[in-house]
Amino acid sequence: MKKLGILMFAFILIGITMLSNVTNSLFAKQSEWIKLGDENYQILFKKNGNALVYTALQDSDKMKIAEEMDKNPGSENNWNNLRPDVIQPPTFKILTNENALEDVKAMEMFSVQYQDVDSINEAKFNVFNFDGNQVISPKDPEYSNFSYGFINSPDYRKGLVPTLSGLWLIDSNKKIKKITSDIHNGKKYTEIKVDFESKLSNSGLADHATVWWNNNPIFNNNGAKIVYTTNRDKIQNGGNSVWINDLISGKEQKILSSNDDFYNVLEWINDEQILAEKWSNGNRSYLISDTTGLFYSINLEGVNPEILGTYGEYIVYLSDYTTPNHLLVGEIDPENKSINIIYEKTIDGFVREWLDYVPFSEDGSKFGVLYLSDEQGKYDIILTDLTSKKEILIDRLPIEKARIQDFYWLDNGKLLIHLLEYEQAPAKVSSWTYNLEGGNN
Amino acid sequence: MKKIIPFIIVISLMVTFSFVAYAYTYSEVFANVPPVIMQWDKPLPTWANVTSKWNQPRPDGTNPHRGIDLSAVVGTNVYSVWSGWLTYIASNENGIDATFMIDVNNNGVKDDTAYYVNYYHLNNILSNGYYSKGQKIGTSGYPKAPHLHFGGISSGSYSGKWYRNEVNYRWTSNWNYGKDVDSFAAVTWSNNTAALTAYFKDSNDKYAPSEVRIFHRKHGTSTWTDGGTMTSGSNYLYSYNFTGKYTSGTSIDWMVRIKRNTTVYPYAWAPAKYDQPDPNPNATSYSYAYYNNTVN
Repeated sequence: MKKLGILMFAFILIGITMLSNVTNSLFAKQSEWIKLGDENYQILFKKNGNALVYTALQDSDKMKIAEEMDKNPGSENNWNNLRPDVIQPPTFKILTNENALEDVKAMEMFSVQYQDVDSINEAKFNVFNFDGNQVISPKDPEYSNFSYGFINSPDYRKGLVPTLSGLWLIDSNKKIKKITSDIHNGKKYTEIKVDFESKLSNSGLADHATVWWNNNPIFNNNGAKIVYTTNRDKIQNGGNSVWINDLISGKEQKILSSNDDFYNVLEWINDEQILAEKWSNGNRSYLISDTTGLFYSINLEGVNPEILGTYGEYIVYLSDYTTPNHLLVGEIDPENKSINIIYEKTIDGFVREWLDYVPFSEDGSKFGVLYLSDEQGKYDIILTDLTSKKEILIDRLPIEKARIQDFYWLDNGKLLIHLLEYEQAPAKVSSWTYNLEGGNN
Repeated sequence: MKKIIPFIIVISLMVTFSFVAYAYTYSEVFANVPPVIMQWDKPLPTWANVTSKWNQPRPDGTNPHRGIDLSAVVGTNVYSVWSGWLTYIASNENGIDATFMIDVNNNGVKDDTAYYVNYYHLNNILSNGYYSKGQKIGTSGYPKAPHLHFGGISSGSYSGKWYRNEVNYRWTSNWNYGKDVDSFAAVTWSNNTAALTAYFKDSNDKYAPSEVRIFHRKHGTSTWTDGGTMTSGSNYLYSYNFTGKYTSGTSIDWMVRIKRNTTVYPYAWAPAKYDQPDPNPNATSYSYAYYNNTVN
């Protein structure tokens, strides 16, 4: 009897242990992924693990628009740059550290007028209270007047409105002003455009005579300077040039220029230095320049390197974008004009990038890449801690018939991940958070 | 009073049947357009200006233009507008050309009715293979006149028929938000009269077509009747009166072929046609989009 009792106790103990393991395993999986909803939540602002998000359009919304235009052919006339009234307006929510979504409304709305070549446009904005600051965003982030986008300052309190004929700044007092000159070498935008059309008309290319007064403007980290490219000074010689606009002094200055070459600024690596690509005869090189134009080219390992992102003076890049599976992370070495590699890895798949992709976490201690892991469109994420070199592989999804669309760092231990669910048409995007500390690390 | 009442009734009936109405439904504009085109994402970081439109007559390059041109500084990132498979086509003096087979149902399997998106004049192209919507596939090029040539096409080679990219016009004020795209506007039906405004607009001013011809048939039949050239009026207005052509109460289909003075496929159509079908609607099984109205 005594032996039977011991045996039973042992079995019970084993059973409890097994049950505990299963339970722990289940809970671990559940705590990795937390569903925010069947909405496509996109980040407007984020700080300290909190984010203000809005509901972006789904493919079903776009179908409704098409169906409404089918029933009422004249309706699209009312929708030019306005959200159609057949779909819901965007909603705004605060996503908290605890993964809660709280409704939030703008505390104020304001409108401004600005000029784009010959037309006067009106733009409307929301003001939100976020993380103790008043921050601004277009009233409808997806339906706005901004052909070339709206660019928030790093603290979200200001913003840039690029137009073909000049750059406008909305300051923290909600006033708009043009910060670029209307004249270059004595000529206005329209006159320079005519010159460009004349130059290209001989080869039948006058349609493509676009003058970009300021392309791809980017704030530096403290919001005091802006870098952009322009071709207003390159009409005859081809290519474009890089300019800096100092918001404090009000001065605009060209810093990089080379005939027939095109620059594309990637990021500010600190408040006074930019990282840029230079395309010359179809070949790309990378360079770092300060705001006076003192620059040097950096040598990256690999046949066709492609930079994925930076954090300060750390860069993550592919050694060959034609076979995008070999990653390198390094720190810029200004003295040797090279990168000191601190990590490299060949992954089992091909890396993919998207418009707002930021590989590094908030403090730069980790980075992540999304990669195609099979031919049927399965995507995985691999996250790497650059201190410990520990890796986290996200290759299991909480639902079937879905794939990872993209991801965004909310803080150093959590991601916002969008899943594309394609079991039914139209496919929909659902939003999830993924907690690194809850997963199988 | 007794004499006045019938008069009032007649006037009322005339007013009732003389209202001007839009003659088409929007779905007909997209007839034969591949699915999901209205759900495409943008191929560039912003909804760029259309500098040269689909089917536009022009002095150089393909004429009329196949696909659209979007203004883009050299080195601008180019993205997939839908999920699918990227394949390099060729390189030439204008850059790299690539084709992208659309995965309509997003399932990663080539089980869809195939159509493609072609991207031309790229600076560089990333690896062949599967991409999700919104992923980078290369960068734009064409240094002497920077732009991206882009569009939906029936096959992944140079010989396919190009589709219109309605969604790309919607977000820019260029071409009057797309209204100056297809060479016609303001299609109406009033008092048995079909009318539209037809003109061509390239980078210069408007100019009149060399011919505007109407085709019609009784709804539910298959053979088109060549109705001849439409009557031209002021401000590029063209009309055709169906009174006496069909008995009262007959439902009819009609469409218009608009001709310009070019040597390569010189026709535009109302409703718009997405590939470039045979100019004789009875010579092919192509399912032409049409308008439908009732003759009084």
